[in-house]
Amino acid sequence: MPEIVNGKGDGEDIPAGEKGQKYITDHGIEWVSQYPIPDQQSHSHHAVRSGTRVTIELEGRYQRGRGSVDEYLEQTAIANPHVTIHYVDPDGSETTYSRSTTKLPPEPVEIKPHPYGIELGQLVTMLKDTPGSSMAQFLTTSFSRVSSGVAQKICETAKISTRGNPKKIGPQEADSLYKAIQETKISAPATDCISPIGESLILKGLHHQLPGEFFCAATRPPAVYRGNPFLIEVGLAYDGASSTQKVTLDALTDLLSESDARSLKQFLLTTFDGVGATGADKILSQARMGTRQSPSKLKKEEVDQLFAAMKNVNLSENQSMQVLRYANRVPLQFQPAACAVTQSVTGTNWRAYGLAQSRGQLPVGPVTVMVHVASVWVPFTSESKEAIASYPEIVKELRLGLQAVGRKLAAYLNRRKRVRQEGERREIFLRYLGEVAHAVATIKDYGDRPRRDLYGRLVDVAKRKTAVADTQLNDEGKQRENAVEEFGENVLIVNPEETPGETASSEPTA
Amino acid sequence: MAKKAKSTSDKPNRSTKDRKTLSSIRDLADTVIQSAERGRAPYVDIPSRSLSNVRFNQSKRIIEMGGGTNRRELFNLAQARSYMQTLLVASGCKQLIDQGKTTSIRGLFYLLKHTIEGTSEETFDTQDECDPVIEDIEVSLDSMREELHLYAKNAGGDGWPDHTGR
Repeated sequence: MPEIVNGKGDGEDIPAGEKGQKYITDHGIEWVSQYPIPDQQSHSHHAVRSGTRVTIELEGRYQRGRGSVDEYLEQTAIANPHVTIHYVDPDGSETTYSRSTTKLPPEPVEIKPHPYGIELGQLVTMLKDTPGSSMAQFLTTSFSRVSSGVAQKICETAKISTRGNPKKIGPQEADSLYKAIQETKISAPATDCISPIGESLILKGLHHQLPGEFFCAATRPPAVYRGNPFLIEVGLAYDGASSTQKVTLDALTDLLSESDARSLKQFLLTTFDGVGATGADKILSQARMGTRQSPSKLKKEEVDQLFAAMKNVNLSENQSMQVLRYANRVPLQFQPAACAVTQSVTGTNWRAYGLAQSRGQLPVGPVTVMVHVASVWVPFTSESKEAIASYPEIVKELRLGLQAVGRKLAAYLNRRKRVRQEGERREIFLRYLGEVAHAVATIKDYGDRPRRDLYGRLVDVAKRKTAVADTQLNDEGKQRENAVEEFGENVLIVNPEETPGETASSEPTA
Repeated sequence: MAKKAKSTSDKPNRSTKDRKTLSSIRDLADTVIQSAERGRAPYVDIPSRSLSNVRFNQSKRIIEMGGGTNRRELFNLAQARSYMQTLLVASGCKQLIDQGKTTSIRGLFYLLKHTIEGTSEETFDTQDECDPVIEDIEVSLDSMREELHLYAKNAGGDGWPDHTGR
């Protein structure tokens, strides 16, 4: 990134290309580039064909771990698989989140507000500002889904003339108008004003960023709360290494030195997702380190020890579900407990879908759930826009979306269990087969060769009887049919032994 | 086991009863072979010795067994082990008959008891497991214990050659 060395031009908007060059030389701004430029003097720039550049200067503290910029970017990449993000952090290390699709999301269509969602104060303002000359005109042009018939009905209920002047409406009349609107039956708004991510892109986004063997997604049909269209989408990723196993030694060293946690246990709890108190204890006892040691004062061997322990300890048994929340494709990172999304996830009975769950807690297992609330107006609990408010219509849709995804997970887990059980059954049969073949050979005075033949034939029968155990998830053709039959649409199964790129999914080929 | 040619002619002293018993045992083995060749699960039908299969014969004035049987399959998780044991007992008896020896049921248990290859599981864990299987074979082959060259009592030593004494 180029840096200005003589303090001029600070905060000024410099255009790109030739004009910018002129500006720089005119104002005597000296700058130096951090990238190796072959010819410093010519500063030849190639014009970028198109794009938008946004530059912001601000002062802040660079903090890693939960709630950090890095986390924000990673989560953004999941919900926006059509975007490529190049990130250079303050330490200079670069990360790139490349896009996994070239399909752009559909552009939302602008609609007029729906009458149900208008508050009294807004109504008054609209009445004052409307260009229309009659009440009927005001109603039909300012709102969506209001025809002249509906406008007439509203006016009747409010006892206001349809030909009255909107600007002459007093406070009492405005109030009765507001009530009349709420009482009149008005059809739900069009929903093409929302831009959902879509099931196949959710799968791509999840698969691209998160490890896992099983992915599924569900997009709910659009719904309305208080006149505002909204839409819930849910994605789920199952079975991957936990966050503590993924971290590198260097990253760990950095995290430790920057952390302001007072003890190692706190450090583990706050820095890594899905690590509970027991998980942290497990890691620390494996590393033979005290839970109360200070993270920043660790010696190199101790850091190595900790790193080794983190790699080895498999937390997924006690790892709680990770919940990613999005409002209109933007990740929400704070106040999870206050958010309707987290509450809905906690309130869903994951035991019915094969996960362990204590009452009132998130379920346990190597699973990540992402929830996207898309709406013209996402209701937040406060101005900070960190948690989504629990409107009943929204909560209902959240629940349905989570259940849809849970059912698919259940189907997958059941199938895995069956495969394992069949494998065990087959093992038992094979054990006894040998004895049976031997006994028969004794009775019939068989030699070795006929005995082996008999054994082979019995083994064939055994294999056929326990055929389910053979269902491997690496035959692309076979899996494609099976996946759709067994799991329904919008499911992606990855076999870890496959080479990357060879995954089969049951997404519709539309 | 020695590679023997299929012949019973080198045992001139075999009684008719022995030959009959041997052929029943061999029939049992044949069913296994046929099932395997047809790709089906091998099974044994064992006459049921439970109360439900017992009736009072008015004319003969005795209580006798009906024709009910229980099917024991190899490819059934609950029955696989007893199926295996059944076949094992049959083979053990065949060996006794061939060799012209007799032993106690305890003796047969120890004859057949061994560790299944490749596992740490035993064919029979206790004699109590083996005795009912012997009874099953008796009933299936419609042979008495003595015809299978087995006797119940322990006393008197194990395995002496069968001879007709005078």
